[in-house]
Amino acid sequence: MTAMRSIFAVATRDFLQRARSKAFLITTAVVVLVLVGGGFLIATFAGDQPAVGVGHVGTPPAALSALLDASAEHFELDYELREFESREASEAALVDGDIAVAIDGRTVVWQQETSSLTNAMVTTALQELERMDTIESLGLSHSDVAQLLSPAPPAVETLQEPDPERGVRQGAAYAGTVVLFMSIVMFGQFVLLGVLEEKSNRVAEVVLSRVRPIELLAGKVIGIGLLGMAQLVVLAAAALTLVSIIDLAELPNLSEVGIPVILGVVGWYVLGYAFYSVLYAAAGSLVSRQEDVQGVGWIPMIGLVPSYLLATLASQTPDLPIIKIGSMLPALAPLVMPARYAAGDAAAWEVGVAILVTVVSTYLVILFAARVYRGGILRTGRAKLRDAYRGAAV
Amino acid sequence: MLTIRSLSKRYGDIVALDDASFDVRPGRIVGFLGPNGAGKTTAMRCIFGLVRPGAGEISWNAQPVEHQHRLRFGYMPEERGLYPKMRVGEQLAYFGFLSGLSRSQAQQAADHWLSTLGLSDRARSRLDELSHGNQQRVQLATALVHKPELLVLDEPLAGLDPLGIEAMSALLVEQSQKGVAILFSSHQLDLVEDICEDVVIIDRGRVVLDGEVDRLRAETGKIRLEVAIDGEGWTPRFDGLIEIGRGHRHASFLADRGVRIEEILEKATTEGNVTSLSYGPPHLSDLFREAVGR
Repeated sequence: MTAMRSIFAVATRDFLQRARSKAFLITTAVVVLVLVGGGFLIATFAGDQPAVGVGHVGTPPAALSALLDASAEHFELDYELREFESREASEAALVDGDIAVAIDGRTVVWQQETSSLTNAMVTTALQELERMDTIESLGLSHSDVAQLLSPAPPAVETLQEPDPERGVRQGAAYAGTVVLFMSIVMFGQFVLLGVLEEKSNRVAEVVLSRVRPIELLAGKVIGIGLLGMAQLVVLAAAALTLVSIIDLAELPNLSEVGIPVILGVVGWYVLGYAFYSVLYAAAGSLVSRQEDVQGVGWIPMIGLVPSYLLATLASQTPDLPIIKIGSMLPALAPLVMPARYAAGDAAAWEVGVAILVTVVSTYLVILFAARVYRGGILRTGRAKLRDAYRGAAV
Repeated sequence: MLTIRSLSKRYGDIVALDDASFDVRPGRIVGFLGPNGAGKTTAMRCIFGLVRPGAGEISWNAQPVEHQHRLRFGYMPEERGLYPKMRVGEQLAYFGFLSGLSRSQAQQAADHWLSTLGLSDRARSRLDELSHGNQQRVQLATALVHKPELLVLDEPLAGLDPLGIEAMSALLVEQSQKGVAILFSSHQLDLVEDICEDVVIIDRGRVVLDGEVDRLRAETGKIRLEVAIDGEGWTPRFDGLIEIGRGHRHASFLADRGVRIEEILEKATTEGNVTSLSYGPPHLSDLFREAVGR
């Protein structure tokens, strides 16, 4: 009972002290701003481009409009056709920038630079028109011409239907991997620095005369972990709001694909964070000074770096055998499995195995890390991992 | 009562504690003395479970000390330390809560100690905004915030100015009068002599002297003699006296209780004009020197 009380007190302190710190608030605000701002920027640039003004001297032939339509569609351009009474009037409009290009009979008139896409659109349409005229002058009928110009396409049969959401899933899996990795590293680092802070300020001895080392460790990991989760939820909410506002047309089934991904990210964050944060805590207990952090930071990275690489691979090619195995191995599963099932297919039992393996391995890691922490937290100077582990037993 | 029996601890080849035994009784102040590295801090850490002893027993009121007992103890470690960025009032309340007080009790206790120490207006300041002396006071309040029954203070006088030492001494006496058992280590033997009723002297991990200060001073069978004469560069020589200190015009000696004072006075008078001669039981520092044997 007193243990729960102590853990709760420590967790509350660690959560509030950091949540109230200006550095944390500013960092979170900046990340949200970058996310939202970046999203709007992308939406602006990816949105509809203004129609290209195309001038025509005299009334354009009926066939030209149809050909320009087809050509514009092919090049993914919008255009607006305007009639001018004379060549001079169209040139004046060109100079004023009202139109980008003018067509005078079979001549294309530019003011200065040519936009290659607009050029291609206009040129293609005019060449088509030329060809139709030539074919007509050979005495062929309109239907013959149409037959000649657009032969029936061959029948297509596909053995495997393509996954229309594949791109979205890959993107979500990759983004999820990055967010998961960053969150685990960032809040793991918070745990390391939190432990180090208590050592270097020598407050650890004051605290540990009142609470057991395991309670201090648990409280710290839980408090900082909840802070990380709160930040993830804020970021996810910002991302979802953004998506709903700017209506990214390229993400068709976002609510179907996106929300499970976000839920999965938070769930796997809890598992991955639990596994790695205690390793960060153990690493922090080995040093007494900020300068020595480099020397122990590798401990959690042994697992995190291969996890990240494998998870990145999994987000693109989830079906590789190495991914299938890695997604169910301890230390790797928390990053690789979510990437794999987000990008491809993982059977329910495989996800179950990954969760079970992670829970069991986390328990073992906690036993190990707690012992190192107990051995290291009251040592001064740089302690060796082995000495701290052994020291705790004496 | 805190009872320590046969406490031993080794760090590799280094013996930190070697079969150490002593008591700290309620309402008594025990001075815990010893040269640097004698094992004082290790013994104190053992009381709080911060160091696991190799052998021996620590009990409180005849029960082996457990976590719930330690919540009734207050500790001020040698290496001072608190959260530098945390507000002073919150910090005290936090430690009160960790020691088992309710939230409101902890808040009240924090307010009480801040006003006792004259820091009420700094409750919302961060610790690192306080002066060094005030940080020391908060450190002490941290040890006292939950009204402990046992106070363990490692070098509480170190780094204090004369006024601070006076205030600390008064506070320790006040706490002991309330029935708190106090164990505190110090190198300032004259102060320990003033404040403490009991003393434990430890050397190389072993308790070499232990008991009431007055009784120990009386039991030595020695007297302390101080002679001063008018004249520079005096080199006194008295048979059977051990010189323990000398200045320009005065010297101190330890002598057997049966020594004849008149003979010493007579001899001193032949060497110069004696301006003062005093004698009495030995000082704590004399006992310390004798017990530690160097």
